[in-house]
Parts: sequence; structure tokens; C-alpha cells
Amino acid sequence: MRCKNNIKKKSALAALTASALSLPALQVNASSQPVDNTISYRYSSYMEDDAKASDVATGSTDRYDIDIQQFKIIAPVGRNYSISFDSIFETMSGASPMGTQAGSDGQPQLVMSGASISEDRDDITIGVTHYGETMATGLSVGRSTENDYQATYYGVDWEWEFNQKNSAIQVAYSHSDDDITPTDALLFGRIQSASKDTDSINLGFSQIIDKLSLIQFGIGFSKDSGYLSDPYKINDVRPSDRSRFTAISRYRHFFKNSNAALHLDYRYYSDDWDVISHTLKVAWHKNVTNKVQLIPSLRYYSQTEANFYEPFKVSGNTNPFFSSDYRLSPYGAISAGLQIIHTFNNFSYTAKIERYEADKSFSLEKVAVENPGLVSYTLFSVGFDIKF
Amino acid sequence: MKQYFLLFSVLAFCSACSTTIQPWERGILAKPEMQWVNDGPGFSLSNHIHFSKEGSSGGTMVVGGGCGCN
Repeated sequence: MRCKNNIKKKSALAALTASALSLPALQVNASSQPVDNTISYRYSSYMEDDAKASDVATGSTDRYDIDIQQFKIIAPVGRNYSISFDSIFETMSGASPMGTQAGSDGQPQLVMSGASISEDRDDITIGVTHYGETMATGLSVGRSTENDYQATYYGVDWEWEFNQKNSAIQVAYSHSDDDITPTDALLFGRIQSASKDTDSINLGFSQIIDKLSLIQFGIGFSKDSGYLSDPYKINDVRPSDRSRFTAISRYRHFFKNSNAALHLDYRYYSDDWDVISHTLKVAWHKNVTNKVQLIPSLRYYSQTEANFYEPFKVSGNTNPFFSSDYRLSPYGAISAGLQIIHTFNNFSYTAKIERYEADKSFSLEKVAVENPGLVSYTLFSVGFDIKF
Repeated sequence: MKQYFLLFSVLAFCSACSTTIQPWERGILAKPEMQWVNDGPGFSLSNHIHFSKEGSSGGTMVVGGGCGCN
């Protein structure tokens, strides 16, 4: 009897060890080989709010509607490997801000594209990971293709578990080669072709705190080099390089009395364009039953402006760089989401709704002039996962 | 340099002071809701949307390329 109990305990131990701290293969920290083959599918749709007519000088007030299909496979191979296939197919339609100009009241107004733009993007990533006793090493390659933009990228990642697998160090490096061939370049005086490179390195440290808690810290460095301006935006001229720094912290704690897990994620970002941002996300993973999980979440974001950002171009400005892109303006954003995951043995489905709103009043710092191109949107997502 | 030394000192302190949890004690830590990412495709999509709509990116350790997202 004692022998049988020991065998059962070892089997349970093996299962727990295999699943403890395991993560989807595309995430760096996959220290355990997946036990099952998993196929995942998601259909998502998000609709940007139309621009206010009073904020638009010329062009359409319609903003983007985007439909996305994701398809993912993760499979164990042999005793020590796994492979993954990850794809995104995206369709975008709507009008886009081309720039800004001063309105009659001196406030910025949008110059929007006239007709609706329609674009498709396909993105495929393939990865392979090797799992050792205390180390995991991964390699991934991928390609993203649009009619006017192509990116080819690869990454390597490594994780080492120590301290009886209570601690882990993660290191990841990735490189991307991007090429842009703007549409109607000659017609609108745009650059006909350009390229940029991006190199990133990330370091992470994870620690089990106790039977109910985990914490992770990480830092990242990234550099973009090449053509970084937006050829579809009027007068947009940006520096030819951009160095970025991120610091993240993530905390997970399980509340037994509530049968729920608390997720806290924070990111600090800064770059040499003087953009500084803070991102804080809180999520409550509540087990309503042993098969149904409800996940309400809140995300807060605040960023400062790039040092060459202006709400609109002013004559006499001697700065060689300029952009009125709202993504380089000062603002804050709040999003709230609710997701349900319903699990049946080896099948689960999920549905999610999320509302994102950007506004100058949400910024941590006082903003004098809000960019009229700030985006708000509503996202719907449904999907399923099958294990076999 | 001082900040990195302080950071690694904090990490070493965390590692040294935490209680060692044995594999058979990690049942709760192994639950899906206790993983860093509970929904892989959803996490990838959120990162992509925020990358295309906001002025900052990174910090996820996820490999990916750029896009002409407007």
C-alpha cells in the first residue's frame, strides 16, 4: 500500500512539477514541456469611435473598424521539445488621420483621409523550445505582411530555474527587419521605399514567494534604427533612431476564501524621444464554479509627449523634427474589460468585451492641448481552446 | 549602474528570504489563473493593439514584428 501511495505521490508530483510555472510557448518563461496538444482560435472585432465633426477640418469622420482572426497550435514533441504555430489575420477599414491644422479657434483639427482605406495584415510566427532539467531554450521566427509593409523577425530565449525551481532567470533577444513601400508614393510625394531595424533584449527574474504568491521583475532595452517617420502623415519627420527602456513587475496571489487570483501588472517605459509612460493593469480571475471563470479587469495608461511633438505645425518652428501624431502626444487612457472562460474537460470557450477610452484628463500630468486624434474603441472577442 | 546594482540586490534578497516551496506544494501555483498569462492569444492581441494605438511598447518578452498600423 505504501509503495502504491508513493507511486501515486510521484505521479502527482510529476504532474505538478510539469505544470508549475509553465506558460504558453510564445511567452519566454516556458520552463516545462506542454503536456497536451492545444489548438486555439479567436475572432475579435474592435471599432474605433468616429471622430467628432467639430474636430475634423477635412475628410471623413469614420475611424477604423478592425476584424482579427487568430489561430494557434502548441504541441509537445518527443520528451524534451515543443513546437508552436501562431497566426494573426487582420482586416482594417476606415479613414485615418493624415495630420492636423489650426482651427479658427486656434485649437488643432484633424485632416482625415477622404475615402475609406482597406488593408489586410497577415502575421505568422513559428517557434521551437527545448526543455532541460533546469533550463529551457527557445527559437522563433516570423513574418508580418501588409500591402505596403513587411516585417521579418526572429528571437531566442533562455530560462534557468534554480533554488529548487523556486526562482528563475529569463533572457530574451529579438531582431526585426521592417520594409515599407508607401501606397501612391509618387502621387503624394511620399518616400518610395524605406526600412528600419529593431533589436530588443529583455531580462527577467521570477520568484515563488509562498504557496499562494508569485512575483516577477524584468527590464528591457530596445533600439529602432532607420526610417521611423510616418509617410502617411503630413510634415511628419522623426529622428532616425529611438532607444527605449522598460521595467516591469508582475504579482499573482490566490485568495482561497474567494477562490480567485489577483493579477497586478505594472510597466514603466521611457525613450530618448522623451516619451515616458506608466501602465498598470489589475485583473480578478474569479472561479464562479469549477468550470466557469469570470475575469473583470482594469487598465490605466499615461504617457508624456515626444520632444518634437506639436498639436499642429507652426511656421517659424526651427526644430528639424515634427509630428502631430496623437500617439506621440500627452494623454491618458483607461480600459475596462470582462472575460468569461468556460471549461468542459478538454474544451473551453471564451468571450470578452473591453472598452478603451483615451483623454487628456486621464493623464498623470496636466495637458494643455488635447490631440483631436485620440482613439477610443470597443473590443469584442470570442474563441475556443481544444486540448488533445 | 547604481540602479542595476540595487535591482539585483533586491532580487537576491527576494530569492534568499522566500520560503522554499516543494513541487508537491505547488498545486495552487499550477492553476491556470495563477499563470503570468492565462489567455495566450488574448495577451498577444492586446499587446498588438496597444503597440499600434499608443506611444510606448515592450516589457512583455514576446517576439514579434512591426506593422504599418495607423
